[in-house]
Amino acid sequence: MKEIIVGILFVMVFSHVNAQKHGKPISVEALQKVMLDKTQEIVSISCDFSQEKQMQYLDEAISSRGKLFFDKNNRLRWEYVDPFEYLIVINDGNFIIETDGRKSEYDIESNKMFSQISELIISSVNGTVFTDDKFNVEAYVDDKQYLVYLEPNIEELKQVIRKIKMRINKSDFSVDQVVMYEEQDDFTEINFLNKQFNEVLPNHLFIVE
Amino acid sequence: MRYCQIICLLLSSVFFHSCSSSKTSSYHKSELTAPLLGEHNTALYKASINVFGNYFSGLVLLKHNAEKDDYNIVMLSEVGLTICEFYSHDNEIVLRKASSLFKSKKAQSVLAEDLSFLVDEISEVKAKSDSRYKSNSGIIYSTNSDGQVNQIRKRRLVNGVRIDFEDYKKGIPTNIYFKNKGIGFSMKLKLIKVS
Repeated sequence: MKEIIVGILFVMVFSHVNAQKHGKPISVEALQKVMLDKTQEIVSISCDFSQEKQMQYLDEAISSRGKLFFDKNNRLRWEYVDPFEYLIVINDGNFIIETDGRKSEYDIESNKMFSQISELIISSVNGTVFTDDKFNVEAYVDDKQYLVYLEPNIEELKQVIRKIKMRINKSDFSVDQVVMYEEQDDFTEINFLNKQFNEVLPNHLFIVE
Repeated sequence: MRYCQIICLLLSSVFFHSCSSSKTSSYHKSELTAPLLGEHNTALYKASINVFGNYFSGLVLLKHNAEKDDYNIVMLSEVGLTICEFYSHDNEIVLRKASSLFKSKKAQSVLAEDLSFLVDEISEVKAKSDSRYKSNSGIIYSTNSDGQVNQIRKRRLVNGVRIDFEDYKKGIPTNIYFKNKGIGFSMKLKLIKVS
């Protein structure tokens, strides 16, 4: 009897998970190839982003917003402007954080944690995250978007993120949304808005004085 | 010998005087309220933390559940990942969850105690002056002219703590400064949002 109940519960949970993954399953390799071809045409991206942290016991999300700049040399400026100021710059092997007027600089090569964070941020922005062998990947497609689900397969990442969902724009193959799921249904949703491609980005954006 | 008698007499008079003064100011039910959250449900602070010269930042969210009179206190990174989560009820705070980025048991316990001062009910105190009170567990509270707690001190040889509360707005402090003695841990909280 116990086995039957467990079995029913398993089927219910499994069908619920599948029901959330809208769209038709597609080959990850095929999507990866198209994405890599498309992203080669992109020299730079600049956009706004909005971030919402949803927690199990909170009535409303913790919202923030900011600006993002990225170029083909894997230089990135990730800047929160409201309701707090917080800046991450990745440039030339350095991971720089500026907040409260303080600047902290980390060498990506010698710091495994910042190396992984850096890889994760950059590959999420340029859409190559699902070529990363640290994740098990599933891909789906619907009328408007590609949906990519990533589950970490290394322990260090599993302890921080349970799953990542990415929505990729079907027309320009840019990332529209990243959702990072933690334990107990807590998640952070980041939406990329007002995207501009291949604009000239001045060097000073990637320098923190 | 005569000197010894005089010294003994002086010491005993000081002793009896101090005993009699503590009797006149005994512990009584406190009218002080915990610095957070008053009538509010949720407060979000930006946190700046200094541990042994290493600087970290993040967000601290305090959520009051009026029905159960309990608190959820969460520290998260600016990019949204939960670093640790505490639960406080009946002046007992427990760690519910800690990310692999925040493993140190010592740091967890220092942070738990520091945060508990924000929400713990102040039950019985003894007046030391018009604006200073001492609890029966040895915690000293100072108040501003509006009767709001503007400083909490717990004196200990190691890990004593001093917390200053500044710029109360809508009954909630805008800036909170924690300084833990002997362990090189300090934290500043700046109010971002209250609801």
